[in-house]
Amino acid sequence: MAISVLIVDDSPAMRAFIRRVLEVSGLETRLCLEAGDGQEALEILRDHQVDVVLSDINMPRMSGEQFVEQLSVMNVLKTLPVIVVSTDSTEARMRQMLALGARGYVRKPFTPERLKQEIERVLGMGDE
Amino acid sequence: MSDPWKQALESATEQVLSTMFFSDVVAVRTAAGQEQLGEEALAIMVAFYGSPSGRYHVWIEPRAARELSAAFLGVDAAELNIDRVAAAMCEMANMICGAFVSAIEGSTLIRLDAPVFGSAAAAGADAPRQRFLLDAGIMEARVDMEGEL
Repeated sequence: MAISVLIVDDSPAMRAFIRRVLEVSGLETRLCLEAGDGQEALEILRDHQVDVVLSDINMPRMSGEQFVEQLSVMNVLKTLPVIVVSTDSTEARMRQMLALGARGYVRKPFTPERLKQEIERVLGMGDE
Repeated sequence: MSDPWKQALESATEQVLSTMFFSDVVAVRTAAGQEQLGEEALAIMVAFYGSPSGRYHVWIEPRAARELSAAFLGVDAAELNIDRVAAAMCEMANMICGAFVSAIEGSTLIRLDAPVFGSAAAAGADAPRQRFLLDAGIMEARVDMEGEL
C-alpha cells in the first residue's frame, strides 16, 4: 500500500530529514507534502487528502497542539491520523497530545525503523 | 551542574548524534581550566522552560558542523552553505536540549524556544563545558540551569 504523508515542522532541515527517512524506511510513499506550521498544514489539507500527518509540536503561528485541537474540532481525526514527532518526550506531553486526539508519538531522535513502525501501527498496515 | 544532569546531557548528546547524525561520540570529562573551543567555533543556544528552566549552549568546530550537517541532510559536505549548516546545527541543538530536559523532568510540560545561532559566546563563556569527541572534530556543551545563571 502506497501512502500519502503530510510533514508539519517549522524546520526545513527536519522536514528534509523525515522525507529521507521515509524513503529509506521501505515505506512506499506516493505523495509527501510539507507544511511549516499548523496553519499551513490546515490550508494544505483543504486541497489534499493524505493518509497520515507527522507533526512537530513547537512551531510558530499554530503549534502542533493547536493544530490537533483544530482537527478535533473539525471532527476529522477519526479518518486522519496524526503522529506527533517531537523532541519533547516527557510523559506529560505525550499524555496531553494523545488526549487531544493524536494517534501516535515518535520521540526525536528516532530511527527509520521506529518511524515506519509507528506509521504502520497507526494505519493498521500490519493487520493486512 | 550535578553529575546526574551531566550524565543526562552526555546520554542525550550520544543518542541524537548517533541516531540522526550518524556520528560516533565519546564524552570527555574535562579538567577545570582546560582550553576550550575558541571564537572560530559555531555556537547555538536553546532556552528551555519547565521545571527547571535554563539554557543549553553548544559550541562545535566548523568542520565537524559541516560533516554532521551533511550526514543529517544526506548531501555532500561540499554542497552546503553556512545557512544550511546553521539550520542543521540548530536542529541538532534543539533535539539534544529536548532529550536532555525530557530526561531530567518527565512529569511537567516543558517548552523550548527556537534555537539561536551564534549566541553562545554570551554570559559565562569561560564556565566549564562538557566536551564530546566526534568523528569529524570536537563539540562542547554547557547547561545553565535557572538559578545558576
